[in-house]
Amino acid sequence: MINLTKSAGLNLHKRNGAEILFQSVGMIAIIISLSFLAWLIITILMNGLGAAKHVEIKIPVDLSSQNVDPDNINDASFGSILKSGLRKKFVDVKIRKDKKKLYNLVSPEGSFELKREILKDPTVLGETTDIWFSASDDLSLFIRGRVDINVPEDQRQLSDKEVTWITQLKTEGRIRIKPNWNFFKNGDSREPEIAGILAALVGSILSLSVCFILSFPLGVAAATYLEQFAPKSRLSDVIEVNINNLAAVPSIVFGLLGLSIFLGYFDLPRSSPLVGGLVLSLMTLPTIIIASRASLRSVPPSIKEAALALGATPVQAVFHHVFPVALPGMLTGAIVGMARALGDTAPLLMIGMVAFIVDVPKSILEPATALPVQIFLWADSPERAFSEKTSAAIIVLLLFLILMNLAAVIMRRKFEKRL
Amino acid sequence: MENEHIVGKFDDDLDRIKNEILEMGKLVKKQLQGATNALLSFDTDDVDALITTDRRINGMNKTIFRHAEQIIAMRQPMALDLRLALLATSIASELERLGDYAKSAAKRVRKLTESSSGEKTLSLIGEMSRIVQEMLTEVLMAYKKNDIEKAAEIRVRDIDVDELNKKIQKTAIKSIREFPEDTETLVHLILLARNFERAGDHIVNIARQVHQIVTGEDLKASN
Amino acid sequence: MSMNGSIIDTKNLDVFYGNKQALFNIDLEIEEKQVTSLIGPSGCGKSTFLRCINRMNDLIPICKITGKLNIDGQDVYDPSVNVVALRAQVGMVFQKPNPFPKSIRENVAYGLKINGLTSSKSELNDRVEWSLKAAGLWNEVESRLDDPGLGLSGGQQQRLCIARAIAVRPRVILMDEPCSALDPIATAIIEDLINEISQEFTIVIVTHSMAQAARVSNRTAFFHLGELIEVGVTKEIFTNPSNEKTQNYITGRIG
Repeated sequence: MINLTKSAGLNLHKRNGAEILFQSVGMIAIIISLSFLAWLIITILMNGLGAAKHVEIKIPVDLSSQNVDPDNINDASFGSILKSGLRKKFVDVKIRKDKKKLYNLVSPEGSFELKREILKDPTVLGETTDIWFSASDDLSLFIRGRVDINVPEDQRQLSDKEVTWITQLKTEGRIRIKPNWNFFKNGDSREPEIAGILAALVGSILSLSVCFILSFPLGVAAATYLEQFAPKSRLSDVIEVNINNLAAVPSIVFGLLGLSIFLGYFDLPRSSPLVGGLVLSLMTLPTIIIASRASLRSVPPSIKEAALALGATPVQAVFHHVFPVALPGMLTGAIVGMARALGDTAPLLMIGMVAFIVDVPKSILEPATALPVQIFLWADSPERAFSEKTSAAIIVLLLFLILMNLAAVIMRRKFEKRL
Repeated sequence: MENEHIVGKFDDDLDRIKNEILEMGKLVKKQLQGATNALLSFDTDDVDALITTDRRINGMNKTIFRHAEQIIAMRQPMALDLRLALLATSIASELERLGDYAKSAAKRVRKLTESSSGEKTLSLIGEMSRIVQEMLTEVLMAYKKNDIEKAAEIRVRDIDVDELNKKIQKTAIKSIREFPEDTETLVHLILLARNFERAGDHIVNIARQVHQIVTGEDLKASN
Repeated sequence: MSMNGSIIDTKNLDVFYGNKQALFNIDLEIEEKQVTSLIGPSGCGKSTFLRCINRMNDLIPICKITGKLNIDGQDVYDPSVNVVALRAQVGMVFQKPNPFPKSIRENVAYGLKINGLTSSKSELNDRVEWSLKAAGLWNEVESRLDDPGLGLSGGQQQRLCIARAIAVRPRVILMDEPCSALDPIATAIIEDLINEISQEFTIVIVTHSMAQAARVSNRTAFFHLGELIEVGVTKEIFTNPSNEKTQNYITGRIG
């Protein structure tokens, strides 16, 4: 008589126990990993989202002809116009030290902003007008609630006087918060409040493009040759082992390689996306080759046999039939390689992309920086506002990664559907 | 020739048919013997039983046919095995005809009356029957052992049977002229002799079929 | 007994896989426009022999072949032979249906395209239609020629592979156990198809089903442990073979 209950013996008790234990351990492992991940993401988000806000301050400035000559706008002294505007607003401020504090309400970029405003709209000349300026980083932090005023005065950024002024300006409606588009429109800057990520973003895009254009075709072609055409011999085994080893080499070594060959011997422009891309492609090539070979191996040989039996040449058989089937896997491998290249700072540091880049690079030969390097630089800065920017840049980097993976998934789906 | 099949049950099925044929042959031989005894001693006591037994023989023929049909359908026999199955039905048919001859010989006993003129003929018929029975025993042995040489010998022995038949006809016809009052009996005797002669022919057929099973060759003259 | 003349003949054909010999001294003639089946137990060398004909054994590095294998009197193992040309004129259908992951039309057209056998798009389409009709698949697929070949059932896929092979009008079609992955009805459809196309094509078929060999072929060759034991008219091989080993094999006997 068959026994379908737990008491059937058959070592059930011990085996069920092992099952439950294993599944619990697995569950716990997942929970711990996800907790760490969640903590990381929440911390970064909380810190970085602050950078999404941009504080501006409205100051009346005298743009009459004695200050600005309509025929010669560029010669005007915008800094002093701004400063006198501030002084006129707060007439009680007399001591030099206090005046300095007053001027500190507006970002040092303010004078350039004034010039840009006037050039954009010369009709504002001739009289005193209200103009919105970027607030300084301290003011920005304060308005966004990042400064703790309960702490004694000598331990905080803003003195009590400044707090009074700010409060007054606030009540007069002269302080506003806007979305920080500058973050995506500007390059790096000494002033955290106007520092933007565009230069680094474009630098990364250019470098990755160079990397992809070089490493993908080369990697795929090399893998196809090694897997499909090269005769199996001692030499091909040696090559395979070496490629596997190269994939594990620390990326900084590639940076040193780039430094000595591309910069030293070939004398290519330093810290350009061209060199960055070249170094990254050296790094990514082994990964692409390995992933492509695995993908090629997974294609059932029956398809190739069928093609050969019809009178296809080996090249035709591979490129008409094996290659398209392997392509989704190759693309996935490429994206994995790209993702590593996107986030790798060390090699780029070695070839000099650590410079302070303000202007957005327009070609692959101009000096540039990259997202991970920018993060590294900002993380290094003492100003508190830069720590917000660092987290914000990390968010941008992660979003970029997610987009790349999404692109990979979509491309993969598209190719698989065609089959 | 007889390697075992990989599927043991196939061998069992073939063996079964073989044994059924041997059983049928044994029974037919008994019938021939019984009919001959009844003839020579003018004894009608066992004739009814003999006639009843003939039905059993017909039943065995049917069974063998069915079993052969099953082997062909279920086992898809090839070459030698196919011939074993197909020719089993032919051999069973021949045995069934033999059984019929035994039955009709037995039935004729009732119609015979003792007479001195027929005595010599009757003993010749007894001789014919003896040879035919021996032939049957031999052909069954040849079938059992797949012995084509033995099968060939049977064809030779049939010549004796044919000779005896001719002799009996001549003698009987002579007796009819001399003793017209015994005509009826003598005619029956002529017919009896022809029965046994036909029986011999059927046994020769079986011998030919044994040869065909073993070699695939059909010895019957066709053209 | 060669009625149409032999199209393939081998002389002293030996095949080695490394040190292991797989075929011993094969002398076999294949008749033109007939179906010849190669039967024998597993590992007897029948598939190996088949793959010698279109030199698919070249793909196995340790495989060495000595002797002659002639098609139309020309030795296919002669160094001057262009293997691509050989394979374009000797078609093959494999055990497991392997249509390309492309549309039905592209599958059938592939051989025509790469070998440049048609000169216009309409001619190509005509050939595709002819092949699919000859393979008995046209009625089932004419309305969906651009659908993926892999969407067909197993039996249909195999017929597609047959259509693909005959599209290039090969001299010989080799079939390596073409029905072993198919159910009885799909098998019967393909056997019927083989009967039809053998009017025009020479077919060599390897099969492990003796019943199939008996149903489908005109001539049968029996291989055992790498040797050619017996070859002859199928009807005779299966009713009265000359060699005891053949008889043992076809009746399912040990030895």
